[in-house]
Amino acid sequence: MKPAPFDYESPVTLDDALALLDRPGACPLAGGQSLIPNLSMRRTRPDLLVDLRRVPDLRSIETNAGTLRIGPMVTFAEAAASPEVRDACPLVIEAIRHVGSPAIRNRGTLAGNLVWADPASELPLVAVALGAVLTLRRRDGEREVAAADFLLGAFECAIRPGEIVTSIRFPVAGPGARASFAEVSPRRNAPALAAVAAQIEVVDGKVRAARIVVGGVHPVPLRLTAVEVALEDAGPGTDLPDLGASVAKRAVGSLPDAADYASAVVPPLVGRTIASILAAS
Amino acid sequence: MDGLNDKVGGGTRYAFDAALPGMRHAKLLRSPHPHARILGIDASHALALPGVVCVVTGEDAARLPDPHHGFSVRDQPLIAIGKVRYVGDPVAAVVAMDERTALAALELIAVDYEVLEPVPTLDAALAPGAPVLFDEPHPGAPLGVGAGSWSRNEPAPNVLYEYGYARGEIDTDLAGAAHVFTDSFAISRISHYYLEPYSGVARIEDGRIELWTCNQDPFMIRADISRMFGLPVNDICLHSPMIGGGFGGKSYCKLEPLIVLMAMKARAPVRLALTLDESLLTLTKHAGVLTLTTGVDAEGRLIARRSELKLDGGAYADASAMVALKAAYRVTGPYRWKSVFSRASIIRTTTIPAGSYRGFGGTQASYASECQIDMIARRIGLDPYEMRRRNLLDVGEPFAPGDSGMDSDLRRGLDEVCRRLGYHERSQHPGHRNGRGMGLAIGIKDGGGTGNHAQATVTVSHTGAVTVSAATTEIGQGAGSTLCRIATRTLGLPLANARYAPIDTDRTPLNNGTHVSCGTTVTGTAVQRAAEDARAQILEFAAEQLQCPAADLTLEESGQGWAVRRGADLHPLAPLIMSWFGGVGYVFIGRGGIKVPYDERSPVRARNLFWMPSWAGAEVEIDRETGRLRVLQLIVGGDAGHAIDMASCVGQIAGAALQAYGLSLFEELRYRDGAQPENADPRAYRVPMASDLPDRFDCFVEEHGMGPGPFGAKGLGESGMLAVTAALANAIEDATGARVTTTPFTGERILAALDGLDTVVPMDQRSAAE
Repeated sequence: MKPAPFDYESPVTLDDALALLDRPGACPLAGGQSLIPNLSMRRTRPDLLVDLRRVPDLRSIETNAGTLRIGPMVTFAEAAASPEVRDACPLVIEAIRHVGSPAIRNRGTLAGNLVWADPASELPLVAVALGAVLTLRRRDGEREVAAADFLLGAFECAIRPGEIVTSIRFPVAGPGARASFAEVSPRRNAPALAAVAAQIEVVDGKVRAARIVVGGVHPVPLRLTAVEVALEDAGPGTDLPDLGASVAKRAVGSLPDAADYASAVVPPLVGRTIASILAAS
Repeated sequence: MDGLNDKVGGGTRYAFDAALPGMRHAKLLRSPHPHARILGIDASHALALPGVVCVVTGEDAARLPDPHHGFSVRDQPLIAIGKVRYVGDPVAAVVAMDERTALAALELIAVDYEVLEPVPTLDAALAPGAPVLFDEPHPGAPLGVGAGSWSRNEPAPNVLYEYGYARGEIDTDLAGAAHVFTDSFAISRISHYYLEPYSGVARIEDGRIELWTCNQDPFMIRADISRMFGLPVNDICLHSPMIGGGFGGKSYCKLEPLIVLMAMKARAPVRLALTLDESLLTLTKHAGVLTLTTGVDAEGRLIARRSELKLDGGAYADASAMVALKAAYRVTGPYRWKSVFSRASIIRTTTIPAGSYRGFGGTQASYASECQIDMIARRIGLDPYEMRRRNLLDVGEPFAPGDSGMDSDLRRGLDEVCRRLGYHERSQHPGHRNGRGMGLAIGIKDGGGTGNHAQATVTVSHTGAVTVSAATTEIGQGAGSTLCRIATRTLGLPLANARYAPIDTDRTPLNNGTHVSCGTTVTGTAVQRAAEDARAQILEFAAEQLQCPAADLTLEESGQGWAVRRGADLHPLAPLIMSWFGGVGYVFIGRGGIKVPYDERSPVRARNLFWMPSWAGAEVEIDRETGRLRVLQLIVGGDAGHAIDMASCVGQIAGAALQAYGLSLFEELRYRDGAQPENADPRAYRVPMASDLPDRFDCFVEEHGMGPGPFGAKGLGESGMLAVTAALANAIEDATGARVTTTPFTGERILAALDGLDTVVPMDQRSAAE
């Protein structure tokens, strides 16, 4: 199908962009990898598309005072190639390996992926796992929202009309931090049926700051704190992947409405991410 | 070869691109209900919209001499008359000055429906007291069959067609067999997913109908329009430009009569180009359940097989009857049997009509048969390779009494797959039976059509320029290039001299359509005979000019253009011809034809022209915890008899194999709650992409030299689909011991099969068995 008719603007300053987005029916366009197909299918019918491509300063990646800041127009491919991201947030790099095809990674943005809030996509898991904070800006102000509060449900997030994401801030990972991301999808480059994002700091053989977040079993990314605690409390010599998988199985088993297949594969994927992290440590 | 560059560069013109002066544009309003009576259609608001030319509904259609089409059972109205029978059934057609206006007008049409209970599945359709899709039987003669077969149109409510074939004492032989196994297999509904959306343009001028269409059967459509509109065939002309893929989805009558009716009512040329979304609502490949009961002797020799095939035909007949016949007749595979009982029924449901898809039921039949052969081998402790080898038909051995003999060396192809795959060494891999394994399968299908015929002309100008004219459409298979090769090879002239003429039914010699892998063998034979005729005329002309016997002369291309050779002397032909004829020269017109005779002694009423075997092998790795399947190797081979163009042959095998690969792994057109299509749009419905390819994908084409076509050739266009699904299922069992019997083989289904294994066989017994 073809999109319903819409107006198009391509502003060159952030203020102009925010002024345009303040109009009723306006919608920002970043990488367009989800928005454009949905326009074509007429599932989304904005009156005005505000293309952010020419707005300066939305493409930066910088580390400052223990925080990695990623601009809203940074694409997956740019983030994956960035030494700053690699050093500060290895989990972001691990997750991007699973995002779409090269063509999608070349155009799709991290911020767009979060705003679209697809429960099958990778960045929401990572943002929740790392405790990312989003800056949301509108014509008359700015606010900050933690990723866990930003994602409200399948394809639902806390962004309001007129707002855009102007930065995603991730805390820089501690020393010894290792990350792993695993997912199962029906075919390559297809949305995942189940996914696991894991980051663990391994210092002197001891697990610290474990972050385990799973997708596919809940409308929003689900942090498995029971697994995190079990890993951090485990005594020496414990089979940590096995422990993680069995605790995950109990945690996922108690969820209402989780798809059978996702519930069945999330626990082994948790075990695999832990094994992969320990192997790299 | 020019075509290749044109295709890549966008220069190729498709029916989609056809444009005429004063052309109007049409869009279709489709039923949102799976089953409903149409109580009324109010198009007045649509007609009031500026730019709308007319609206066509069932009321217009009902005035035609015969508003229905369908192969063997004529049940499909060119637009809904009184009732809709699936979500997407066209209800009204708007013709407007442009597509946008037509789309806007669709939203202004009010249809008053009385919603009826849907009949979404085989079980629902066959349940006692199920709502019926049709109240009255339909015109149309059942497909003709021969010895041992029966063929019935509409034998029971919601049953469109039944075909059966029996020979031998099935009950006695099953009772006497050492082992008897019954297994059921389910196959899912898939879409043809051709990339050029279904499209056509019609013009009525001076009382003649002219139609540009993407359909692959121009003469069949001409006959349908002739019957439906009550017009002689020579008042109807179809043009068939390059077709952007079809795979059976553009065969038999589709939207052409509706486009003609719209052009008549609009009094202007009308173009209807569906979107890809709508194309998905036009035709599917039959889903179904196939139950096979097979008896074998103590040595694993096949004795008897009883097969019951229930195929989901969707709302209308299309080519379902042919699919049922072919599926049931072939479900015994390329093996020797004492007795056979096969029956296939097409069940009507309120879903998208199903029709031919690259192999007419061959994929469904080969999938079920080759899975069961493998299962039986494992159950009786035989290697599946050995089981097949013991039972395969020999060269020359008839497929069934009264039918033609096997014209491929089936063991040779199987051995080639094993060699390429490393099948006999598979147990040396440490992962064998522990998540890693290999499977084989041999598909079989008849080729060339039943009692088929074709005509062709080959004309040669005074300069040696060759024009080949036949009605095999260019649908991506390289028909024109292959037929030109046959003509020039016969004439002894270079391929560069030849062109394949554009197809229109006023000028092009007739054939029955681009079907059943018949292009090279049937139409190719007509072309070869036409080229021989032209060659004889040329040599006779030269013999007269040179005052010598024609037998002394041969044709060849020389440095000075084409020439005849007589011993050591070369005589350029152009001057010879020009000096005799003068003027603008001359063309030699060669004519050729072929008719495969009917034969009532053969089960399907004609001895099959040639057999299309397909050999496949797969190696897979299964993730025990997620059920994920990784295909390490997929090997697929066919027999071209003699390859006229080897690259085209290998391309045909590879393309077909990937369609079966998609069906096996993830392709499936699903219905939500049985009523609404769930993924009938090109974003949600996915065919295999480059990233989905097996780690190693190896296609090969053998040349066993026994084809009935030109130079020993035979067709293979459909064959690549036949064996892939079974080979993958068999590899999964080889890897894990678990059997999946429903396509697609998703992680979820494989995991469930693996979990079932754990509950059925305790761990200690399983390891002992391994």
